[in-house]
Formats: sequence, C-alpha cells, structure tokens
Amino acid sequence: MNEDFIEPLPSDVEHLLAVERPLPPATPELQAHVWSRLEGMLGPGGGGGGGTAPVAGSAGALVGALVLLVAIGGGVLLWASRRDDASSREAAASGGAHGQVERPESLVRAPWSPAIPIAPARSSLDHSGVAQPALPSWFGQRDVRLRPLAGQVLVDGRPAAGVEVRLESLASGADAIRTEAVRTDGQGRYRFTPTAAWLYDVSAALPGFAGAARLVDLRDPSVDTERVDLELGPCVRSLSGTVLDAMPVS
Amino acid sequence: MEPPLTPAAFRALYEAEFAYVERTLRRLGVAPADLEDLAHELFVVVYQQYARYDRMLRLRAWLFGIAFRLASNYRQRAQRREVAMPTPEVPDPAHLPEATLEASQTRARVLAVLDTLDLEQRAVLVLHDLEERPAPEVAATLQIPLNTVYSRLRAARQRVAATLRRWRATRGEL
Repeated sequence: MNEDFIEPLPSDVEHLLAVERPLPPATPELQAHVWSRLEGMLGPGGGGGGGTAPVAGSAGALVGALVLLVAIGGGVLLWASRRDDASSREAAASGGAHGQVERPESLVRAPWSPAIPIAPARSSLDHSGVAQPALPSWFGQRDVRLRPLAGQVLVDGRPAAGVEVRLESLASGADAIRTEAVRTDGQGRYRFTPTAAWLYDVSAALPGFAGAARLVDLRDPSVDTERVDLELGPCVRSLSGTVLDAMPVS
Repeated sequence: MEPPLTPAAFRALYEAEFAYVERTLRRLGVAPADLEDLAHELFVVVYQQYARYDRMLRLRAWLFGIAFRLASNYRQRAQRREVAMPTPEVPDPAHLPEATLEASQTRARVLAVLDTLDLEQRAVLVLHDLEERPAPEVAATLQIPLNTVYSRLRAARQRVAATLRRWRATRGEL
C-alpha cells in the first residue's frame, strides 16, 4: 500500500489547511514558564541556567565550567589527601579519632547525575492503606510544599473497606509517572503520603458499583486535602446490542 | 538502550521543539488555558522516557505520540468531570469581518474545524494533511494499522468538507 490510496485534498480543504501548515513561533511567555517548572527536575545548574538563552552559549559555558572544576578538584583533592595524611599522623600520634575532610560534593561526583531514576513506570499498591511517595517533588509546582491527600470512600453513606483508590496525573496515563494506589481500611479511609503539588485524578472503584472520581489540585491552598471523600454509586446501567456482521452459529 | 538525556541535551531539545509541542497540543484540542500544564507534563515524559525512545521514529513523531496520549487523557478527564472542553467553535461567518481571511484568523478557523472531529480522526488529519507525513509513518506514530489510517483520514476529510460547506451555506456562497 502507498499514498496512491489517498485521494488529493479537495481544493477548498487544501486552501484552508495550507495556512496552518507552517509552524508558528512558540509563545515566549509560555515557553519560559514551562521551562521554569522543568528546571527543578534537572537539579542545581541543570540545563545551563534559566530563561531561554541560546543553547550553544550554555554548552560552551558548561565545557568551561567542567575544565575549571577538574582543575580546582585536582588541587583540592591533592590538598585534602595531604591533609588526610597529616591528620592521620596527628590522630595516630594523639590516639584520637581519624580526621575527616569534607569535600564539596560537586568535586567528587560526576558532573551530572540524574536527579530522578530513569526507570520504567510501574504501579505500586500498598495494601496497608498507605502509599509510598512515587512522584518526585519536582513534578509539582516549585515553591509549593508537598501535601498529604486523604479521605474516605463511602457506599450509601457507609464506609467502604478494601476499595482501591488510585492517584493519577495525565503523565501517569502516558506511562511516565507511576500510578499510586492504596486500599481503604476498615473505616473506608485512605491516605497517600505527602505528594507533589499538582493536578491529580483521585478515583475509587469497586466491582458492582459505579466508580467515583474527583479532580484535586494540590497547588490550590484552599483545597482541604484531608477530606477528599469519594461516594460510590449503584450500578444502574446495562449494555446490550446486536451483532450484525458475523456468521450465524449453526 | 540509549543513555538518558543530559540537562544540556534536554535543554537543546526543549528549545528546538517547544513550538512544535505547543502547536501540536493546540491542534489536538488542548485549550489555551491548559497548554502550560500539558506542555510541562509532556516534557516530563520526554525526560523520563528518552532512553526508551525508539530511534526508528523521527523525534517529532515520538513527541506527537506523547502529545496524543496526553490529549486523550485530557479529554477523558474533561468528560469524566463534565468540565467544558473547548467547544467546537465554528465561527459564524455572518459576523466575521473581511479580515477573516488573514492568516491568524484562518488558523483559528482551522482549529475550529478540527474541533468538529474526534481525537482519533483529528490526529490522523493533523499528521497526514497538516504535517504532511506519509501514511505508514502516521500508522507507526499512532500505533494503528495502515488501513485504519486510511479510513480515519477519509472520514476526517469528509467531515471537514461538510463543515466548510455548512459555513459557505451560512454565508450564502455557492
């Protein structure tokens, strides 16, 4: 099969779509805002600084910084090594503890190491009713503290025990961030450990009942994150139909 | 497996592809007010998943695939919440000034036409008729059979043509 199977666009549709084909420039404010959020993911100094400076300049600056770091690091390590030896000799002579030299971490660590694990996304379920934190703090908005997320699942106004409650973001759906899930305890209560400030779907499901879901914005300080209750409903819908395109069973 | 992105490489990718990501999200029906959140999430995915990115695909095809999944989740969330999605804003030509034909407004009309399509048809039309990608690549990007690309494209084009006819009828054109 090839493009011959596709007819040319009608002229009026072609005329309309042709205007949209060239990619318009990015919205500068939007680009800057999103980058400022992403910087937290890269760690200190990650990505060559803030704003939208040209990358080539950032790369040059990075190379220069690395050369400088190596030079300084060599000197400091040599000095520290000699100091260690001297301290050892002093400690041995005095019978005291071995001297410790605190080296700046940037001098003994690789120039960059991932701030986050590059591991395949997976779902975690803690049947004790408490989930371990999975979303890295940088995923949330910067300068907003982690917040707990808790509530109660109800059926007909009564607590529902053993119900799975899931915490998801859009990125969870894209298989990038783990989906968190817990089960409610005997009082129908659930709790997620402090979670990055972001927009989440919290949902509960139990076979035989209509699921419940709420959109919770942990970035909003007015949201009471300790009372995110979910009410499961009765299943009142049925599904039926007719198969039209199949061989009859004889 | 490829190594993960370094911050500098991630920055370079971000600078080079942000405009594409922004426009793709709009073309897939993400409201302007939600662009910041979705673009952020998309680049989080890029950073997390880069080592698993299939190099047989073009980078932009991979980015489109991520944008499509996010847009799909975004629409499902909106439906579940009964949050108003960007409504199919088909402008009333009777109330549009002559300047409608100018590029920026025509772009807005294209987005309005796209809003009349479901996401699956929309994605195929955007890839094939706007980005001008060949059908096999569209199939690979969206992970659907080639024949499905053809059928969705045909349906999408018919719908777009019908919308244009309706607009013309409203304006009294032949």
